Amino acid sequence: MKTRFRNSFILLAVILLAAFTLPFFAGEYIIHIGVLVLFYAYMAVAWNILGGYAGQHSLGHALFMGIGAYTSTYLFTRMGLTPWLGMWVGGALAGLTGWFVGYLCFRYGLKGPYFALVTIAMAEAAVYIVNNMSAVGGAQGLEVAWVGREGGAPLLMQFDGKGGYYYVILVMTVLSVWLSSWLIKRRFGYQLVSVRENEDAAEALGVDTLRVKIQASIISAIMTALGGTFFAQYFTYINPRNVFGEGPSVQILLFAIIGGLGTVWGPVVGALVLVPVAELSRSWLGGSFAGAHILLYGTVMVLVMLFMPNGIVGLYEKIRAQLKSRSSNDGKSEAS
Amino acid sequence: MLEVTNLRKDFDGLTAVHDLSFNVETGQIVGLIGPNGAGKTTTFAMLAGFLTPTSGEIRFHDKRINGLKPHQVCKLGMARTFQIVQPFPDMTVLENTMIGAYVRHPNTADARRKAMEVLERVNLVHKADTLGRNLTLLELKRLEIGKALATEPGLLLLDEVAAGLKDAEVDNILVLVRQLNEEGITFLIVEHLMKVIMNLSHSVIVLDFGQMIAQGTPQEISRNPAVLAAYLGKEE
Amino acid sequence: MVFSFELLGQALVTGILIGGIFALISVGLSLIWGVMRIINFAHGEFLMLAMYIAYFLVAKGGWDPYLTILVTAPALFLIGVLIFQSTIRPILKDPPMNQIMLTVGLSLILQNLALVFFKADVLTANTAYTRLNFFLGGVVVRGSQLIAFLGSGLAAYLLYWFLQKTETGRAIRAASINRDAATLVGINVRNTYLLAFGIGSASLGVAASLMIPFYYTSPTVGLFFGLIAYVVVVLGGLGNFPGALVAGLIIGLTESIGASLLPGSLARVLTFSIFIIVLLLRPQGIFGGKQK
Repeated sequence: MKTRFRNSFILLAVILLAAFTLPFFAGEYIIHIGVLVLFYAYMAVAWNILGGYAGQHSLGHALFMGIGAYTSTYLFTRMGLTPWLGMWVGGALAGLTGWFVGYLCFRYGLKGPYFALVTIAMAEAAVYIVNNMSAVGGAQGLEVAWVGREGGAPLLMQFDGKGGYYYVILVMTVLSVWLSSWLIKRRFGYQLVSVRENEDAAEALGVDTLRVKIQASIISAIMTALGGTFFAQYFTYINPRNVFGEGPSVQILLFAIIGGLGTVWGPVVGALVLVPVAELSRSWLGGSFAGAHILLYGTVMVLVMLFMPNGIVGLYEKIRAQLKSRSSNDGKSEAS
Repeated sequence: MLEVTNLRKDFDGLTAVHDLSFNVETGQIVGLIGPNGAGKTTTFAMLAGFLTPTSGEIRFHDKRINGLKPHQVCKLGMARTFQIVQPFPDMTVLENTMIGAYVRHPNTADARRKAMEVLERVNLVHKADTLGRNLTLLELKRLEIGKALATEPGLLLLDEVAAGLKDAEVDNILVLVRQLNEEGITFLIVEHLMKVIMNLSHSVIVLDFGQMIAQGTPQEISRNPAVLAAYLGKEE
Repeated sequence: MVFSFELLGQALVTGILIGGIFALISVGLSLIWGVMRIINFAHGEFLMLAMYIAYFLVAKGGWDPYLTILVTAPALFLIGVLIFQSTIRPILKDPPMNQIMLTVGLSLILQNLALVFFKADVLTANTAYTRLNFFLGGVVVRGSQLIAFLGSGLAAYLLYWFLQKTETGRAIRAASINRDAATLVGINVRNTYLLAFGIGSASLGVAASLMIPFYYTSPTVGLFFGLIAYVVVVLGGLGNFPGALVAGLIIGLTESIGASLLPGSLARVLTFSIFIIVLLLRPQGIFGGKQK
């Protein structure tokens, strides 16, 4: 038991070391892929708190991403406020929205597909509302103009070259995974999972299921919004579709599902496995096959749902459990 | 401990429970019986907070609890089990029980300790790391009681805990309930199995068509003609 | 924002005509969702596929758009059946969210297959009916939309008749009400599901052919219509045919009148707001009796 723990600790340390030193020995393109992997991992971890732990699958999480992206970008481009601060304003707004959406849906007892539909409708509505807001560029969107200083402007979350952005998203991802693993060990985490597993039973055991779900919604929303700010700063262009649309909404949850819903590392594993493959195939196939990488995502999603609905990590855990029970061999009968 | 006065529940034109009044004294085991559809589960649901009474009053420890949500009722000291067992399937037995323990012990280490104590009590320690989905029915029933027990209730509502169990298993549960009662927990049990009611209850309430038709000791009830008529010769 | 009775009248007419199409797109979903409790998030993409088929037959093959129904309906039936057998049937007993995620994956695949093969171009077919217009007072009635409306009505009626009057149809309805009871009376529930899915998909083929004379096709055209189908089905009540028809008209009118009264694309926000409110307050829909 102790050896296993120490082994996984070493593994973690090696991974972190590799991640932190990547920019020193990799070219700009590899770093870019690294940024993408981390960004999608981060967003998936954020989504997982509501979708995986609490079991409330939001299909419109881009709502929060868009709020984060637009808020910080508007404050940055129109009022000169650094995104480092602007992102927290966005986070607060998103948290409020997360409370609102959560309260509305869960107070009315919306579950599963119905909840998913409401979240889709809300994100879509946001697209059309922002389309009409000329103050934030309407359908044209907003551009995060390069401040244009030599060496970038780190205090304005702008970096010369990809390395700076890489470290920002790396730290964000590490922190989010840490938060996720911390939450799951505390009462809040247990209660979230109990709500997912059996809401009535949880309620009967003293869990305030409404409050717990709303709290998960708020936390997830804030985290997602912060990611939205990063998105805006890195990709430097946002419009209603690319931050509020169904594309981002699906991409946010994709890796959590493929990697393993409701696990700490699932979202990261999902992104780590798929994003590099997709991105490499995208650049290899070139512009004439635009959309091929999403084709890959869709196919993997279907395959995962068919054959390993608990995702990569879920499958790994299952295999490990089976190996353990086979080798332990102590006559303990596990009725299934 | 529990006072129910003129309780009534209407559903879209059907009255499931009609003018029900009874008391449960501290330390008792009270049985609630009646033919199918008599309103027993509806009454339970109202007591535990899953349904709001149409009219009437429920007082627990002399505090009105009508319309409180189930988790609030639980925190006040009234816990329930479900007729169809409701474990958390992908959590271990220990984790299942910890959810209940968390009510009085917000700290994870404390909750775990309390949960282990409870598992000893219901004889499930050896299954502490087994997933909820891999338990036998008897183990699930014990877990059901254990989860509720972990919330440290003063009053425990058992909903047909013996349903589906073999004879020896029922005895197993009976012993447990009696021991817990001797340790100070009050019980209100819904049961079909006469053996359970007769053996355990200090007092029995009989429902039929949403109304109470008799109340008394098990002996009195078994001789009551109205009760026998309600069951129409159905003997368990 | 110019308000005039003429504008309103135009919006009314267009709204009703479009509402008919919305209704047809939705009855297929109502059938699938109502019968199998499957939420197919690729519903819109099926329509998109059918529209491409219809488009190419018309634009490259010179077909009369309404004749393409002879191809699109069976083709969609087949595609529906194939997809059902291979991907949906294995997970019928899985949690609903798994099914949703799978169909989301399907929609990604279909959208991007279209993107890869047909590029992102918006394709409009030029047919004999495209410029056919009638004038009623100050209101323009587009012939193609009128035909689509009538065609949708006919198709929906045929579907309704099939479900109510034929034995197969009744089997489908029985299976939707109570799967186990249906099995007990000898109904092969799995084939019933297959049939329902195929028919639901085929209805999209019909809708696509009716739409090609006045609507464009592109890889993303399914997103909007898919969502509208959900709005209509929820509004009208799951599995409720007449409800879907009425709801289709209501949404058509909302979109149309909303577009003439509200600036920009805010009409859509109105539609979604109605959707959200119905989901929150009356998820069984205006006409639905069954609780979820």
